[in-house]
Amino acid sequence: MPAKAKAASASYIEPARRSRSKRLRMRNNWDYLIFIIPVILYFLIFCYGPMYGVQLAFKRFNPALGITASPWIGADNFERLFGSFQFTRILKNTLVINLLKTCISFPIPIILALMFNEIRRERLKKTFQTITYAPYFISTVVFVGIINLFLAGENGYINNILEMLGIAPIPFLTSPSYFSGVYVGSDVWRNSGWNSIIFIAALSGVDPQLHESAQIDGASRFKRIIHVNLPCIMPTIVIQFILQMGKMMTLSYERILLMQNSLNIEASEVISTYAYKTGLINMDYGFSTAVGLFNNVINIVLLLAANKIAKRYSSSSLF
Amino acid sequence: MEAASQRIRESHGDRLFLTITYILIGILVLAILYPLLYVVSASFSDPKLVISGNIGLIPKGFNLEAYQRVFMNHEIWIGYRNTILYTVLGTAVNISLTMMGAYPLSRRNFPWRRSCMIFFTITMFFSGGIVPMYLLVRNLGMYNSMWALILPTAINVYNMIVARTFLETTIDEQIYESAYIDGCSNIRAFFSIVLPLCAPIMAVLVLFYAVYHWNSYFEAMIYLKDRTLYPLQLFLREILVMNQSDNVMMDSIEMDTSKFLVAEGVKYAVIIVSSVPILMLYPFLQKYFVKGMMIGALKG
Amino acid sequence: MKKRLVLLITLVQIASLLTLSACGTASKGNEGTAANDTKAAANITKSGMPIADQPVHLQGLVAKYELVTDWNEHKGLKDYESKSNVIIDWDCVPQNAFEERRNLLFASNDLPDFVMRAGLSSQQIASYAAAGQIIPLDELIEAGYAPNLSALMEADEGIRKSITSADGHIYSLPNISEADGRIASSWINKKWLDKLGLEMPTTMDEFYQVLKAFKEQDPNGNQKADEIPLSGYKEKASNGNEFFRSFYGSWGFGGNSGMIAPYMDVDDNSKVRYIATDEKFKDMLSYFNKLWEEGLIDKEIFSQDMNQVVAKVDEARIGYVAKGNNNLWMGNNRSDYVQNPVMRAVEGDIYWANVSPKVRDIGSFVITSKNTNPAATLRWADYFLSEEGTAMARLGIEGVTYTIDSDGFYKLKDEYANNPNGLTVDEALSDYTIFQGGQIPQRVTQKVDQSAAVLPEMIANKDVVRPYLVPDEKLMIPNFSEDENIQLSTYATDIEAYTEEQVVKFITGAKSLDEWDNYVSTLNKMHLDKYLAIYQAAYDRWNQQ
Repeated sequence: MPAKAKAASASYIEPARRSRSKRLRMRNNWDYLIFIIPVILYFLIFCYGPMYGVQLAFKRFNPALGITASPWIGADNFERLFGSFQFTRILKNTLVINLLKTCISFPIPIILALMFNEIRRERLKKTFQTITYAPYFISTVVFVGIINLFLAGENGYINNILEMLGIAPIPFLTSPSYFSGVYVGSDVWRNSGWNSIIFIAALSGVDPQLHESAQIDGASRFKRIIHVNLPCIMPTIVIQFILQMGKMMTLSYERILLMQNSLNIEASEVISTYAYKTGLINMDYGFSTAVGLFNNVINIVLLLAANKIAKRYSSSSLF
Repeated sequence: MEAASQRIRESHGDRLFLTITYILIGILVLAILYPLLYVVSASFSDPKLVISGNIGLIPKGFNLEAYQRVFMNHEIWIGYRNTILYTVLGTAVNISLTMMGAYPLSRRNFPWRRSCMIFFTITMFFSGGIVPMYLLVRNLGMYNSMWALILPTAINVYNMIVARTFLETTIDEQIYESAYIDGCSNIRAFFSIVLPLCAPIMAVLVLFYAVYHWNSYFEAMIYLKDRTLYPLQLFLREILVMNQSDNVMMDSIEMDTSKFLVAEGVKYAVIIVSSVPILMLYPFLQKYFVKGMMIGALKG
Repeated sequence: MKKRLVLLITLVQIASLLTLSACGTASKGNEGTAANDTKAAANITKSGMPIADQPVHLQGLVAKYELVTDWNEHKGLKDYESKSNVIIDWDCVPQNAFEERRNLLFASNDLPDFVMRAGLSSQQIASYAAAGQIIPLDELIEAGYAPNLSALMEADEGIRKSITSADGHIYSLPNISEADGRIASSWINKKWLDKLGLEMPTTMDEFYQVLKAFKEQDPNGNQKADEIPLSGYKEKASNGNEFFRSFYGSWGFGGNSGMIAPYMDVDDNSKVRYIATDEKFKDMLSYFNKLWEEGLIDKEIFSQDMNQVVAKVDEARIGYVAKGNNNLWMGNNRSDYVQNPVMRAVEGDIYWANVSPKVRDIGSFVITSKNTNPAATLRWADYFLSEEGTAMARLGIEGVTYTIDSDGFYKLKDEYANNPNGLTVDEALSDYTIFQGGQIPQRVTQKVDQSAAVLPEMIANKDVVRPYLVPDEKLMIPNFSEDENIQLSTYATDIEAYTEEQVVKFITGAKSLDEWDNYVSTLNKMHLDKYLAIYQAAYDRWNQQ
């Protein structure tokens, strides 16, 4: 495997030689700067430039004074978040939904891409792929409307079918125990096709010669998928997985808010919806910045951990 | 295309495996297709039947009123024009900058690879928030101009990482080595090796960025003042809100509620109007995903 | 490694310096307004039109309701502009984008001269006022630059009370609604009552019998038990137990459909109460729990939206629903429904609690600190509080879109009331009026109101509950100080969310009422006393003004 060989050769450079070789590398490869400098400038101006706003997490924002001159209030905003009776619950809900997402929404696009790759008729493949990624374009409001249509307790399509089969209707939308399932399930429906695109692209980079020699060795289709395709897209999978870990605390409030009702609130209140509701009073930028900061500190820790694990057990990692 | 592999006889197990794959994909596609067709059908149906959930895959009480409502608004064409402009221009900027970042990051002989990577990744997690960003855009003189929609979002770190990973894994170090022996600089290597080989990832990036620009409205909402600069999504959101039945509860003197019913259809028509053009992009890009042969040829 | 870090920090510093220095230059130009004031004021008249002898130019920010034409090209406003000599350059932001933009402009101190249809809550007014971004209007009002508002406040003390902020200043102009639109309705199926030979219920016990009959005796005559005796729906982001609040008055609570705060009212001794911990509230919960257990309440009441209820009304399946200030939203079968009387559940006073205060939309118009001509701006907005001005906002231009009857009532011309091209009235008027979507300073009386609420049959429906309306002095709009706001933000979310959730659990039986004491003590642990004290302070302030 080329990737592995690469990693091996890199780690063989001895520490003493490393810095010298680095200087050498720099002299020989200054021309990369032409590529990277505009990129660095972009990040400096548009990402690091506004970053002074992060201090709002520890401040009471006074718009007339501006961000830098607003008074410090220490960790008040964080105390408010941690001190809420809902805190453990919203933390738990956020993590449960995201863990389910990682276990279900993450692998399905990979399987989908591997299956698509087996289709030999190009026209069919194209049509199927277009269909599977189309739901991505449905707006959130209509998307939730469709969920209601299918899963409603009384007239929902699914419950109608169950009724015909003599099964009692299932309260998909109004029971806390179904919420995360419905959320992740609908997420799979909407995003699997879209998320598989990246893996389909990675599969197109697989060297056909590898397949041919495997075939000559008598490997079946399934074996070739496991031993040729999967290893070849593994770096992409690992990177995607690390990035997914970096989103562990993130959920968009828009959809959840629409799916929320008094009956499922126990399972459907998550950090983002809570921050949205609390921040509404007063347009509280300080509080929402604090919530964002809290989320992202955890996100970054998880990302680094995932990165470390990936580095140890596979050849690919972020840094 | 896959002529060589087709010629080798498929074993019994392989055929069974393939059949199962086809069946699975078939079920999946149907499960996805059904609600999609519902959306299409609802946009052409009598809104009353839509509300009572009485329609299926074939429009009932066929009517075009929802579409008439959408296209009655002449500004929508301005919206299409602007959106296409922002999408094309924005995607071009995105792709150039992303590739410019991804290429050095994917190279082992780029000395600051790790530091740059960390420097970029941090921005995924820490951002100053909307107020400093607004002030920045304002102070750079981009307020109420299309650059406010293009420059602040010029690079998506996630996409850059995706591109880096692709370059790292698909372009073999040996190819570079032989190029360097021929006296090739890193800049020339980019144009003569990387660009020809990265068609699939470029296609993915075009898709990701183009769809982002096509669907985005938040930047436009806060940075644009003139209606002549509005993208399609802003006009569509207006049409949607305008036709919402909640209006009955607001300050309104309309008494005939049946007029508000069209709203139900408009909701669906708006999806069709806004997403069909960008959906067409995928089939065009898809041919770039089938490049396996070429890479093999170049390597050989 | 260290070197790298130093480099990184330097780069970040450079970047933030770049942006910070740019901010410094941007926030200039806010001073020197006072000097211009006296000069500008000489130009401004105190009554009649024009407002200014020399043209006055202003920059306004407005939430453009989607149906209304761009305010810069609006025929009605152009007409007003030529009458008043106040020329406004509008930053016309679509309603659905407005909140973000407004908040951002205030947060970055990049202010217009004034904001129209501002939609500010009293909390926001307090915080922008504390930051000095919006200016107090009382001095200008005293000086006679708001003749219409002054006259209204003279006639009705309640108005001054409601628009005065916690710091004693007036920052904004209100929307005063004297028409019936402020009374919300509930609808019972009269056709079913008649068919089953039932009397109109007057107590909650009778109501229960009626709902039971609706469920069991097939009033829609389709031989199926598909009747839903009591229905309702969830609104946008709310959780959907509003149906429950519409019965507050029956148990003697005066909570005005959550206008003050979701579970709060004022008792006869001017004490603010948290009704959700009251023993009578417990009775109310057990009543609805019984209804729920017996299947008399729509199982989808917490999850469905309005359209689904309309569909059920259309299929003649709904017996009772509390929603809207008229029944036009109910579609084809709407004439089957009438307003029910207030149904008694307890001894003593009972109310019709679903009524909003006369003075509302506080914060529909504010003047910012950037304004160099606040007198002219206030005069401009004050005009909308006159009958003439409200007519302009709601009906357009006299002779063009409306005429005035001999009895003083306003009438839309037929081509607007019944548009030949199938436009709704609101759409047909889009070039001439700005009232669509509400949130403007105006005074709506029956004379100028053209909405469904003034139809004779609607007035008849309102008459049923009119004697029971919650008295004005209990309909408080709380105005908090900035300090109170900050304290509230720590308590309110938890208390309100917890109550909301538990109430639903009690109703649906997910939690037994045996746990009532536990529930009350949890609320107390959440500092219910402090939460109430803040409201009490706000109420006392309001009451004493």
